Amino acid sequence: MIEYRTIALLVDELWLKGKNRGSYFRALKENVELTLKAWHKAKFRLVIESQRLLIRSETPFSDETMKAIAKTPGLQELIPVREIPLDYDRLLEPILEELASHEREGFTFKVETLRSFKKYPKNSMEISRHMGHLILNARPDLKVDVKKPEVQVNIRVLPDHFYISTRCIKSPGGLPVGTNGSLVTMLSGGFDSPVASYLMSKRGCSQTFVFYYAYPFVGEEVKDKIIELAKVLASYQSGCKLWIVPFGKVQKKIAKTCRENYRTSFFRKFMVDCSNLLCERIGADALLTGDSLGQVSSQTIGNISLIDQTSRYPILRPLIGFNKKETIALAKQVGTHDISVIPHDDACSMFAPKYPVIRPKNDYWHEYIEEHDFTEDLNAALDQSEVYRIGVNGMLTSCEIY
Amino acid sequence: MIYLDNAASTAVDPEVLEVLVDASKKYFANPSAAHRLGKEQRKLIDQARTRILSRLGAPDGQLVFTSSATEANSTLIFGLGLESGDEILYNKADHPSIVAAIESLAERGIVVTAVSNRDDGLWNLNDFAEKLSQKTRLVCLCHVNNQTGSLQHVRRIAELLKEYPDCHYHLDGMQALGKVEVNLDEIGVDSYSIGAHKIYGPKGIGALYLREGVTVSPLLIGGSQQNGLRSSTENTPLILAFDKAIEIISERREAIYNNCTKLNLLIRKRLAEHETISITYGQEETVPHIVMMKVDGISSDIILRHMEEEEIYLSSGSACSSKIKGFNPVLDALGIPEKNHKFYLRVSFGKGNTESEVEKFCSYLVETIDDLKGFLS
Repeated sequence: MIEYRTIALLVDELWLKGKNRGSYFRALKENVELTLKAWHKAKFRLVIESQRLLIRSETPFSDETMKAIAKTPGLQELIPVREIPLDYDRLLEPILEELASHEREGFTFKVETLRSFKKYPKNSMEISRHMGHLILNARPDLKVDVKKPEVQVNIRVLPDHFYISTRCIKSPGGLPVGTNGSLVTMLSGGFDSPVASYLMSKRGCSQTFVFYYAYPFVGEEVKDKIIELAKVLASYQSGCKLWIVPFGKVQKKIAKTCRENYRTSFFRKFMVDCSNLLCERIGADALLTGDSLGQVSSQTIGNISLIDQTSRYPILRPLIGFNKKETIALAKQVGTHDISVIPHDDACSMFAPKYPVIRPKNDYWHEYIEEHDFTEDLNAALDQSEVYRIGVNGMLTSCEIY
Repeated sequence: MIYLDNAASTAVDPEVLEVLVDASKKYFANPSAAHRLGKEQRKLIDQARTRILSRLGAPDGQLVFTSSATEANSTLIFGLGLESGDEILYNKADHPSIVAAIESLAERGIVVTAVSNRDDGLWNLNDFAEKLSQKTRLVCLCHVNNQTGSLQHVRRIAELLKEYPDCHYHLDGMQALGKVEVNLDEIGVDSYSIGAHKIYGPKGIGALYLREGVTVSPLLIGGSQQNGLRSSTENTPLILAFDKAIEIISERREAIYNNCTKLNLLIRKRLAEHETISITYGQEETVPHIVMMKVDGISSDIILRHMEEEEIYLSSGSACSSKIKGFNPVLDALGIPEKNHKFYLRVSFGKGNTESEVEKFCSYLVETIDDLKGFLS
């Protein structure tokens, strides 16, 4: 196995930025540094160099470390690089080692050279063509394909060394977390909300997660599942906090006082209200949910409209136009699918009315809200919350009763 | 706190704890040591073994101390040396330490045959008699079922087995010891598993009784302790505490039995009229310590969590399988449809439970059910 002591990180849309580009780079660098400190237990040097980040360490980076860094929003891709002394005669051998490390035969390749050191006696075309020829001599099983190669051999010529690389790990892209405000993300145990969280991580939003825990109607296993989901999402967030808000008593009170067909809608409404209170407490800018228009009765345009009317903070719904298959495909990519798929008790379905309201009536909705002030209950629920802090490496670092 | 989960485990009796603590301080040496400290412990262990055998009504038998009744069951099931083509008759409604161990033998070509259960929760002896053959080498059963409390007709089974001298008869007595009279010579059993933590003893100690002349291959190989039947340094403090727990329970068994009978009658009477609660099995077929019930339409998990909020503790099915949702293999083996498995609760009484505790439990259970059934779908 080849050991990599240098990693190049290419950025995504930071190049679109103008005068404030520096602040985005600094945020990205901070986020990468946090992940590195959590995963790479040796000294390293992280620098911004020609619109990209470079990490060097005397201790090789593990696969896990590279995969963890590659999850950082704002990055386009991670390239493990080998630094070779600037001696042309010694360039072929490490390239052949790299190609051998792909552990298969007969693939197509292409050599691409970038000559940053313009005074180097050979030009880029010469180097690519000659190296391609030498590789074919040494590996007759390989074929050249300049249009769509399976493996691209990148050579970069610098004043005192060559960089070579043959592989890359794709990153989420987008903007660095922390550059676009903070959200309260309402997590459930399903597929949607974790994917919504991932999408907004990519837009640079830092997030605090909140789960409405319907104990004693649901058990500890649901809480465990949510913690596991938050651990995965924390890896796209440079760590996070998760609030487990005891909500069973509130749900029971709602269920006992409202019309049966409005139960689920009012559960949602008061969860949103509670999330508003949490936004206030922690100074967040908006709420985030995994709503997809019309997916379930509480996500009809009628219900969404009424809920939005009473929310003081904007509600972001990045999945609003997604269908389920699209969300599930993305959940697989994010790494939350296998956790979301585990069956769990869900209080909303436990209390679900036979015929949930699809077009709620304005009059009854507002009348109920007027007559039932849950502010005290919601604040009490927040006061009794368990708050978990989760590191970027998925480690629970603390749990406190709020 | 109202603790109604005594079939899962019991609080250690203070006298037993005292023995355990004292012995832990005093008997730190290795009981196999050749010096006086070792010999002293060897004597105490041998005396404890003799006393336990005598209390089990099998003074001439052998007793192997193990870490649990599960280990005792495994020692017997895997140690009998059964061969491909041999048959085992067992009850799928029994504890996993029996069922899972036996079913794993099917891979070795051993024929594992489950005998059915009757509607009253007892093993179907007609089916058993039909399935019994010259190929049957092992009959394995829980003396008292841990989830239902069913008290099996163990003597009748022994009688049926008289015509099959090559068949080994094993009982798991984990839930029977301390609850019903256990006289192994009278039952006519070849081996019997017991454990301490269901009789107010500590966890981590059990034993396997083997009738005189019965041999098994050990699970653990090493220093050949306990006549080579279980290599591993004997845990003198746990053995002495186990002995003490058996001594105390033997003296108080009848009084506890009578108290549990009173509580059992009370719970049946108090809950009989509630339309959604039904007691599953009759008093005559079960020990008074365990009552299984069904609450129609409300998942037992939800009831359990409402109860624990009031510091009332009971169980849904067996505590050993509470992580498995929905399907319960024991209830399945008893012919209960899977869709109803989640509605079953188990209440199990112990020596400290009182009528007022049972009254409070019944009131709160009824109150919770009436409160929940209005809005749970």
